[in-house]
Amino acid sequence: MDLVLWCLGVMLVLGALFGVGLAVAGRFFRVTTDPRVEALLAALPGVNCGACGFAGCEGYARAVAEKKAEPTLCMPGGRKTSAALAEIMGMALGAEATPPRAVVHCQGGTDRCGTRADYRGLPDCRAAQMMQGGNKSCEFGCLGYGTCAEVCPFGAILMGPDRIPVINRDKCTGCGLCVKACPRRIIELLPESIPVYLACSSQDKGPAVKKICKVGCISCWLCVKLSPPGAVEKNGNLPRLTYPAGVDYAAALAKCPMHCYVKREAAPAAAPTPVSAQGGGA
Amino acid sequence: MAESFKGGVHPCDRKDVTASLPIVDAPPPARAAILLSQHLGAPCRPAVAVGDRVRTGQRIGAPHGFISAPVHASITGVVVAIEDRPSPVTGARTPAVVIERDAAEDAWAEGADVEQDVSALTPEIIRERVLDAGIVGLGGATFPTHVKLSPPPEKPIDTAILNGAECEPWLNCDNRLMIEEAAGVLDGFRYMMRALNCPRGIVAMESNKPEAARAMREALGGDDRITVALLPVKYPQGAEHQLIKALLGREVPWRGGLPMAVGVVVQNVATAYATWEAVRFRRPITRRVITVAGDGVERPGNYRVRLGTPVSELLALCGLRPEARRLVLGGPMMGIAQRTSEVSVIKGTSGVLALTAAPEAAYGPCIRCGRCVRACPYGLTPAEISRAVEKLNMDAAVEWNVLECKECGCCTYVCPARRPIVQQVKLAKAEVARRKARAK
Repeated sequence: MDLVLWCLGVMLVLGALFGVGLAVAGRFFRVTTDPRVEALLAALPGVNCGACGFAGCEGYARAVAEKKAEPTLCMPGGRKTSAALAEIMGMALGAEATPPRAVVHCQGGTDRCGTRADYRGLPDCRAAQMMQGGNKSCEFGCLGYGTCAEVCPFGAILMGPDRIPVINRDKCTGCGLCVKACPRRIIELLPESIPVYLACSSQDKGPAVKKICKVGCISCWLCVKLSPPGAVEKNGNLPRLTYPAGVDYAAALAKCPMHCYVKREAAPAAAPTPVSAQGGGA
Repeated sequence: MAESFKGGVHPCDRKDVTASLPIVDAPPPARAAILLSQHLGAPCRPAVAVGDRVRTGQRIGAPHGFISAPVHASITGVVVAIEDRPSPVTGARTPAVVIERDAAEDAWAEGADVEQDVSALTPEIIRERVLDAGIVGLGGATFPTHVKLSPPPEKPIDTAILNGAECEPWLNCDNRLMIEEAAGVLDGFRYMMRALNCPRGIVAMESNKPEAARAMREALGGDDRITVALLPVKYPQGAEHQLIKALLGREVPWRGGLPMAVGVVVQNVATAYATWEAVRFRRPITRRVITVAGDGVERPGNYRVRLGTPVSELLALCGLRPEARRLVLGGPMMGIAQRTSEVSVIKGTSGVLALTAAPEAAYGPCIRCGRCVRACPYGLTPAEISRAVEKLNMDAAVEWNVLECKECGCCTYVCPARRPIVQQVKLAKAEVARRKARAK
């Protein structure tokens, strides 16, 4: 009986000691956390795409809570998420900007632009680019190995049958991972409100382009003449669109002899197939 | 003395094709396009203008920064253009000086090709002449030699190794140079040892070069500071780390360790010969010995070629067969496949290979056989690196030490699934570098 009492006593004393210890630790070593971080994190989509520039959604939530970042930086979340974040932080949101969406500045697919070498390496655009600058005849256009589609966390990019990426505007969140992954830098984020873009990136001179691509800009500068002054600038051998308010580039779109001006709604005629269905053949 | 290193492979060496063929002077090109970036480090700035008359050995590109080396005119003539040409290393457009040759005259520039007094050479004079001559590592890495000859004072060099291993199949340019120019090669090596203040030298080569070993031993005379060492034939015996391990038993540390860290400097045979020419005669580097071989050429051989010569002219000289499918500059293991023969010979071009076989495009999944692990001379696990890169997981690739890989290609050579492991390594390294640059 004595033994049982002893045991109970020891346990009670130990329990009391640990209890006091924990109470003291809880009091003096307490880490104050901002409850808003949890709420912000819950309001974010949790895809950890990094488009906001922070290390994942949690990093961004912390930055917002510490007022180091605007609540409008989450691309996948869009307007809805921005509003939720602003509400948690008790901030007012500014006027709505049109969200940016990716466009591809090239339409020289396999049927329109040839190759200059037989490439048999990794089916990855970055690897192909490192191998003597890629096997495509055009040094500026899409290589067609689908690295952009590979890195898109939202499945918004599919490779077309001509191996030019097709962007699904409904799925694209404007996170910009494809922009960073493309070794030829031909993907750009453009605000939704812009209806027309230039689907060529070639800085080659006209005759050189004509030789290798059926849809490459030949620097005829017709678009400069047809558009209001300042709406199209000369950037080397390629026009640069400046998108001033109220300009729709309809004339350039209709008259470009190489059909480099592309209407945003118009997806290529053929239905795109997923990359995986086409195999990795290079 | 340790005999060898861990791992490695034994590809068919094909040395017999050109081993007994003496070095022949290739005719100078009608037009030479001399790239302004022929070395690791900052590219040169042009030092001439279009229309200028230049003589052989005249400086046409001025170095820019410490890790850089000047470039010189390789022929006498007139500068007709300074324009972008494809680089045989990256394929990117790189600035080049194009010189049209004067058919009547081929004269050295003022001050070049004049015998110098070499009785009182100091390390400073040697380094200065090496820099002036634009000498870079001619084994292929093209690291500026004057930098390699300037070790920091806290790292004394106790052994200099003259690298004549030439472990790449087909190539014989170093072998022929050792046979035909043994005295010059050795004197160049002695100048290097003097610049490094180094008491001991080893001339190392694979044992498939008995003629070169004999020539070097004869040329040594009674010099007991230098020994000739024959090593087993195994690829990559000529890689710095493996050479040092095999000769001295020392391991160059990981994480960017250099041979300097274990008191060793390794120099290529052709670099030593160029150093001799620079120190003794103030001849800048305007030509180099190149092995042209492969089953795609009729008349393979060893040629002394002016820098800037179009590779297409070399191939025409050797009789390009119509069935040739691939052009590789360098050796078949580490050389760079080209997309056009309209590239120029640069300082680092040791071989021109025209091959009739092209690799299979398709590769399979890793079957975890472990052959690459056994073959890797650096003790890495290429299979895991390859699998990580396939999933675009560069962080995992870094954890598997992808950055320690020197891209020797042993893993890819033995892989039964024909996986392009070296290319995956290159992709991972480039991505890691890109991320680092972006994080800055």
